[in-house]
Amino acid sequence: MTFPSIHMKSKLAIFLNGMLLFMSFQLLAFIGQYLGAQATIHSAIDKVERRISLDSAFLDVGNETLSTPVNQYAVVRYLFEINEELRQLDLPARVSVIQGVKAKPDTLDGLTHQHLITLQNAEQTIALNIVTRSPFFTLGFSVLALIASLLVLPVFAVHSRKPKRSHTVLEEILPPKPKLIINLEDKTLGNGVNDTVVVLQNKPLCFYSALVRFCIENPGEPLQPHKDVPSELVNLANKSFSRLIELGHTKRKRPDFNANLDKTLSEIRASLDEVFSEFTTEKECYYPPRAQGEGSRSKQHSYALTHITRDDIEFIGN
Amino acid sequence: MKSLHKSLIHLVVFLTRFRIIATGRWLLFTLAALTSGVASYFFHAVEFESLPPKTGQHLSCATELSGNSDVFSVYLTDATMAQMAIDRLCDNKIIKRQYGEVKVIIGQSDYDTFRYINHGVADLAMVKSNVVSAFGADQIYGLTSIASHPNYSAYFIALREKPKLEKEYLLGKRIGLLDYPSSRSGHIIPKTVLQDLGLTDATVDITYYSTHKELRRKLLAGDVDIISSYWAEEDGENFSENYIAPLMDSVSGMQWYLKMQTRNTDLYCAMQSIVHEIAMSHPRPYYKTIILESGCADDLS
Repeated sequence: MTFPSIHMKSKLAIFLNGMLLFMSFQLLAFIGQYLGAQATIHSAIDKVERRISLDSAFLDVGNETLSTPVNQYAVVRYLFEINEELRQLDLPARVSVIQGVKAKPDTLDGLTHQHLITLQNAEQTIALNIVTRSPFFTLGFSVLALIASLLVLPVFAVHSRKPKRSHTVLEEILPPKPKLIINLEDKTLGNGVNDTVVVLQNKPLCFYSALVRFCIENPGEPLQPHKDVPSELVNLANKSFSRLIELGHTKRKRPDFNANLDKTLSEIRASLDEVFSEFTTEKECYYPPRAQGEGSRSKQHSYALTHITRDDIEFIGN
Repeated sequence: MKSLHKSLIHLVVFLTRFRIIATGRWLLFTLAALTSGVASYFFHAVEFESLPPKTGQHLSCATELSGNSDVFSVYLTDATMAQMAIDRLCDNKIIKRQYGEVKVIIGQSDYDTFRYINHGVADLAMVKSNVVSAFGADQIYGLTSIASHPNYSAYFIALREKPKLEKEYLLGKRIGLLDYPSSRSGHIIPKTVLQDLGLTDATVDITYYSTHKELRRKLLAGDVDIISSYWAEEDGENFSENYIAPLMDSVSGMQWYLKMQTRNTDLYCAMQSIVHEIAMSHPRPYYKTIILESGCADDLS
């Protein structure tokens, strides 16, 4: 059994495929990076919010119910301390405002993506402004996307299928169909699949090649043994004989194709039996039918090749 | 055998026709794309630890004083004084003998003072006498005065004229007070005066601030017409002594209290000594005047 060969795409196609693969993987990497950054920011905000919620009980952020103001000094100091802690722990968030008291700009490390948060307790609400970096800030080139595209590229560098070659592939996979080959140069019959060839005498070879042509050109025309061979068929046989003379196989006068028809057909059948010994089914197409029970001289019997077509045969040296 | 061969051929033809073999590369593509996306997510997603508390300022000694596990707690509201105290306390031989650690808590608000004094946390504290007596901390925890700073007066201070303690004058005036109710010069006394004059929050425009320093800034900025506070020597630089009106002549000064639940006279005298040193070293003139209670052999004052 033969396997289909690998067909590489052109260099330009491979390059474009590689670019498309990288862009696809990089896009997925961007989405992953964005969602990861969002999760990180969410976690940082969550931690800061929780810390301020707990600390606000001990931080003088004023009280609406008691009409006490925010202790600016205490809140500014708290903002400085919590932002220092956030910087040391490398959290991507800073607290910019608590209850209207702003942190010093240099403690915010240039973070500008604002998140307004309101904490509510039994007596008042506490407004916070937390700044983070933008989730788009972390988007960047992904080495992983590049590696993945390089790993996958070879699979996309070959053709998965080629419509023009589909029949060829099928032919390569399916066993070859035998075909009658009449070689006038060698005076042989062959099946086109293996090397089996049979050499025929001039008379049966010429008659058979004429019979094949006649049956292709006159499908359905009966050829009865008890009648004379049609003149058209005789002419074709004579033409084949003339061709043999041209090819130098004989110098004798042409035979009488009406004489000893049964013997001629028998020689032809014997040759076909040998040539198509492994292809019994396919042989039927080329085999001049024998008389079945009614006798070879029966008026119903015909030795015409009723199923043969032009595609079933190949002449060499014609 | 022949039929098996044909079956295999038909299978290959079927797979080719329906592109099942070619589909494998797309499965690989999908797998690689998902891997790229998921890995990028996990590279960029970081989970953080909880943040430690950022309120509550306190100072401790650099090294452990002894094997004793007792902690000597000090409550102060002045950061400069707290630093002076920790330096001296950690170096004091009586403290080293009796305690393993010193912790100086720097209070931020009235709420802190209330909790640390009236729950008996502080062993040594400098607070106003009204805070100690309000909840009987002197009787419950034996808080004993060991030294006191001088009494002072409370004033209405204005920028361009001397305030009058008259209802007609004060009506409609913008007055700045302190927001914490334990302050006598900045809260208790002025509100009492206003009440006596028949003025309420509805008839005068009272604005509350957090510190005496902030009161002075607001007066200078013109945000208020009058503030209520003490008069310090350094106030003469920004304000005129002619434009102050006394509200009460004698407000008791800040006092140092020591928790004396035993007759620990060594500690009593050691603390008096340290308190005296702090007072003498403090940059503010008010604190430099200190009266030590009797009871120690050496008279430091």
